[in-house]
Amino acid sequence: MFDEEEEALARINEILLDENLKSSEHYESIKQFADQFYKILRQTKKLVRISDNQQKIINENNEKLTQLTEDLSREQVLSQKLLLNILPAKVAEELKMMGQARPVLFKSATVLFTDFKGFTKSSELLTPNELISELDQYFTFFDEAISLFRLEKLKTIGDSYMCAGGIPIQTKTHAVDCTLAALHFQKFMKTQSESKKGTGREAWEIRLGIHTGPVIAGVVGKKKFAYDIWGDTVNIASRMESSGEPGRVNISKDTYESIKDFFDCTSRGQIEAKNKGSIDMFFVDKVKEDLLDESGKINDKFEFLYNQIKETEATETKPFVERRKNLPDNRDQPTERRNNLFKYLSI
Amino acid sequence: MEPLKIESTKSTPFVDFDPNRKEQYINGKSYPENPTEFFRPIVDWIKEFLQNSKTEVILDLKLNYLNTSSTKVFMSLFDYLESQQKDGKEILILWHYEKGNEMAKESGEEFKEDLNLKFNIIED
Repeated sequence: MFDEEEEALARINEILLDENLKSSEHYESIKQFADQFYKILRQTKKLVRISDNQQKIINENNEKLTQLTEDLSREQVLSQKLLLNILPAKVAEELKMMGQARPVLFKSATVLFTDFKGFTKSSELLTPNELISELDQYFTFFDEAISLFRLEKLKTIGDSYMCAGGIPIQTKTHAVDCTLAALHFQKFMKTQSESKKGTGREAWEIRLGIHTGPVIAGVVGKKKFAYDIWGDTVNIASRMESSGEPGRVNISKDTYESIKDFFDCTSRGQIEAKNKGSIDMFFVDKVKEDLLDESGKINDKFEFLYNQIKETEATETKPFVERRKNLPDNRDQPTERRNNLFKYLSI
Repeated sequence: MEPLKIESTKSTPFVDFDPNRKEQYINGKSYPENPTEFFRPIVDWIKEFLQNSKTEVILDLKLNYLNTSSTKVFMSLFDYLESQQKDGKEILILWHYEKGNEMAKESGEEFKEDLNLKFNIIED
């Protein structure tokens, strides 16, 4: 079955060697025909061999191509991940599509600054490795936490951490989100501080400052892209941090107006801020009593109020007091649109 | 006798035949939709060239890819050239391939194997 050509060639040779045929008057034309047939058979065999070789090489190349495509996809996922680690998804997409991400004015955003008290002292007592490892531990926690609160990390400047809410996707809850994040940070710092007791290691304290106002956000420059925000709101938020106290969340009046229905705050009156004159400041004390359940966790009423603001993100905001009147009577009644964050959030 | 010059396309090679020189060139990929139509003038030209008492031809080929039909045409052409060599013509085939193009290299080796022709395989 596999040697049909060989058998045919052997048969032709036998016929040509036949003495009876040699004496035939048709011998020459038969011989010519046999030669031609032999040539065709030889060509066919070779053609099959060449085709097989080509197919083999094509298959090998296909395998290499598949491998390269897989490698490329993996690289693309990695670079996309890296890009999204540097820029917000919306901005990265705009940058990829348009080649630039133009700065955008956000009429209302909230900016949060943190700074560690004790960092300078620790930098004298700890080795650089220990110092950076400690700082990394806190900033890693902040990084993970802010994504829960729909905030965008902007940068760290030394031991200062800066993030904002309401950018690059506009939200209505940014002031509440930033305040919740600030209290969450603060709670973490307290936990860390308690775990250090008796170890002889210096506990770090954190100052947190928040301000709400307009910002311009975007990417500038051509190298080492960084999403950043600009405007007086940023300066005032920074002043809120520097004019605050360790272990406290210091906010401006603009932020206070946006969060006062959720949090108990203490007015500090007007306080002098560098280059800004006197500014009204408030300390955020805690989440309002009626917005917490027995175990101190945020309850459904908080979530209901929060979701009412969130729902207006695409529509016009009603006066908040009116919405509060529509609260359900039973504060323990589960809300349909339960925010997963609130299931475990304890501030 | 007129020169034969065919510009390359996506599926056919560049052909540069000139009766005033012994080197004749074919260069490119070959997977024409109609191989007979494409190769007939090429084969006819070579036959005429050799019949016009030209005693020497150097066929300079650089074929990155040949489909099966094109391979068959070249096999027949080489057989013809082999028969011409028996009749006293001097035939030289230069089979070029780009470094790394195993397919072109192996095709050249297959062609060369059974031929009684000067057949040089050259890596470019």
